[in-house]
Amino acid sequence: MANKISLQTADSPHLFGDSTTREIMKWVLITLLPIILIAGYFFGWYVYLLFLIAIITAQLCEVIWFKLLKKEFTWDLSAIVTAVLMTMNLPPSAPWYFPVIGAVFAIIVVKEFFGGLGYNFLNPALGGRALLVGLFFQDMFKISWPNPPFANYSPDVVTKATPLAQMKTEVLSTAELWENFLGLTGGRIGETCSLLIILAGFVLWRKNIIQLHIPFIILTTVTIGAWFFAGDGGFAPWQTVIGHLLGGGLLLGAVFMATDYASSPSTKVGECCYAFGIGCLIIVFRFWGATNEGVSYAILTMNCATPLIDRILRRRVLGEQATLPLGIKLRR
Amino acid sequence: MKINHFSGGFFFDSSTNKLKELFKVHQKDIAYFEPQKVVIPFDQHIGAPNELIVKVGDFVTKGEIIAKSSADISGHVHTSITGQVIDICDVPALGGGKQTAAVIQHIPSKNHLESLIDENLSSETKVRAAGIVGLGGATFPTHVKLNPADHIDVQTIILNGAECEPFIASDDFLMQKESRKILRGGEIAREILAAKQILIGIEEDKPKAIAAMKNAAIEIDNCHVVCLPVKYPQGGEGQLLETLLRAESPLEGRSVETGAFTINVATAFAIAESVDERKSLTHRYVTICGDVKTPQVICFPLGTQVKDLINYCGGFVGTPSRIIHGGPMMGKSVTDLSLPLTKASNGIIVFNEAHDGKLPESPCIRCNRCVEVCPVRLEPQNIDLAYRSGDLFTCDQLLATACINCGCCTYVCPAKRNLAATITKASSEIKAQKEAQEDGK
Repeated sequence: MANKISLQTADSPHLFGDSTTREIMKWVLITLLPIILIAGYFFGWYVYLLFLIAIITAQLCEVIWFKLLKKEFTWDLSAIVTAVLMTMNLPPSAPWYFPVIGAVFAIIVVKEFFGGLGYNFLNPALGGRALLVGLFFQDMFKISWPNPPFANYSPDVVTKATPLAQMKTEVLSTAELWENFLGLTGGRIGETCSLLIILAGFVLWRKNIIQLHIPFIILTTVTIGAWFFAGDGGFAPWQTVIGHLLGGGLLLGAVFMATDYASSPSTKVGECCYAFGIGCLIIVFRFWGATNEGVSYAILTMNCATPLIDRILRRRVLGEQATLPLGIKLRR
Repeated sequence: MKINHFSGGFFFDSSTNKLKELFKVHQKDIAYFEPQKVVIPFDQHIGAPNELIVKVGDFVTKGEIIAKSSADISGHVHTSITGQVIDICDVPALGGGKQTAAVIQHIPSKNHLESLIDENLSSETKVRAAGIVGLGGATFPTHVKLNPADHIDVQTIILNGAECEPFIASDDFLMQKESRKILRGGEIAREILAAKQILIGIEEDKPKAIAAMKNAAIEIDNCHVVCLPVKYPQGGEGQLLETLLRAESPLEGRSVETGAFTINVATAFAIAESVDERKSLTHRYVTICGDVKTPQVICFPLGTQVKDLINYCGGFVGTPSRIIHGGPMMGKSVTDLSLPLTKASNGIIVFNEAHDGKLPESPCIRCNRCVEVCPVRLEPQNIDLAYRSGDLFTCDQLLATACINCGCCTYVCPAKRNLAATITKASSEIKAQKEAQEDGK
């Protein structure tokens, strides 16, 4: 027998699963791809350019940051996911520098300043958008209407009310709800086509990348909230409730933003509280806020509550005395 | 019987399942290995250290005690072959350290029969005399476990045949071959503890073992074989209790406080042999598999060295890069092939370079998969983070000491961080700190 063999010393376990960070990011991008494609179909070729600018900027920022810090760069696709999600939150008529500013802020300030991948306490895509809203409030709320197929080069800006604004005064017809569902309505680049977002969420759930409790609780809370508060002194008609679910980036936020790993709590119980908080805040922002929308700010606000949730809630360890229901333990 | 799924755990990914198929042991009968020389470490249990009672030059017969301790929590060590003590020296131990062992050279002799345990002893004392410890890997002395505090009323004897570690098939073959004796061991434990029922938990991927055990269980009243899902870590004591009885063993206490006495099937077999046939624990089954020429389950005398068994299996296939003692999820890596196998050994797995799949670590993305699979419901990602930033206080608050080191968190981690390793380190450092504090008082 060969005596000169070099044997590794390693801690157990000696087996590893198949999932990798890159695989997860890859699947998020795959599910986002149809939404990107349909956005160009609705709003024109120009939005593809916006996506491209954002992706290049984000990836460059990350490479340069790693160079400056002399860290080893790993090609994990996370910057691309951030860039794509940030662009989906822009209006189709956004000038070229919107994605640049948004991506730089998202990657450098929101993500890398706090330690990079996994350490950001805010969702970087939404952080980038929040800055843009602060800087260019007027332009960020310009609305374009779909003009398929592939419109002209750049989308027209119209002064029509979005379904969310429309619902304040009238009840949507069934035909309009169908249009909302399929995406033939005014809105941001990636938020209009509810059908594709739902399909994407389903694929991500099947791939075990997201779990459904966060989107489910957010949507349920918004449904109940809309039913209570959208009507004039009574319960709202079902069309309005459905309209609230389909409108204003709620689905995009619930499926892709609220489920962001780094900025959501560690435990399932914590995630449920977090999702409920998001749902309640969306209702507050939509009915009493300055604009009709508020999904992104609701998520950003609850991102800030995540460390607190993680600090006070933990799971009851196997064999520990039960004190609270649902297997929760409060930590001092 | 309706079973309850334990919390956490996971099903192996397709790459592991492929490897499982590749590493499967195909054999009809158990091989018996008889080495010329054995190296028997004095301490093969958890508890008080043993003292050697033989010296160099002594002639010993198989089954004779060579090291023991008068302390209650200890397990006698016997010689596993007949021969002469030729040396007492330091030999490699698992984890890289050294341990003292007696080297015994085999001398063929017809005059010396196996030395047997005294017939007139009670069952419990026979178990102690046979040096039986938990053979599932814990190596806690079984006679101590058979003698719980007075207020504990044991209702159920659980025989653990889950064998959830992939590749290992030692218990599987033992159950196929020795089903009657295993159940007899369960019955002896039931008599000692005045318990009511016997449950045998076996994972579904061992149909032959299940059939054999079911067949044998028919003759015994109140004895049931329960098929368990192939979910890791089904064979953990706490997980088995949760699955079969919906019981949780208390965090700071013994599992027997739940009213169930859990032992590995190999331990039950050893109990039956010690009580009925007065044999000491000198042999056990081990699976030698992975990248060796003829992988197989072997019945070997304790103290056999790894290199002898690998030679017996025809040597390595390719260049070995990692050899594991025990299962691939919880086993420790072997660095010296002269390591002797002990009561805790149930498998040796050889990975050559093609099958050694460690990827570099990347940052934690806080995906919470480790939290979901942790069978004791810890938050591995947060403990890992706290430990790496030197915050032992937070590790303690997150109950890092409750970790059972099953390795689930590391397995599912997409960032390939070895969370199980850092938590184990955190746990041992916290325990050391607490002990130091208590000593200071």
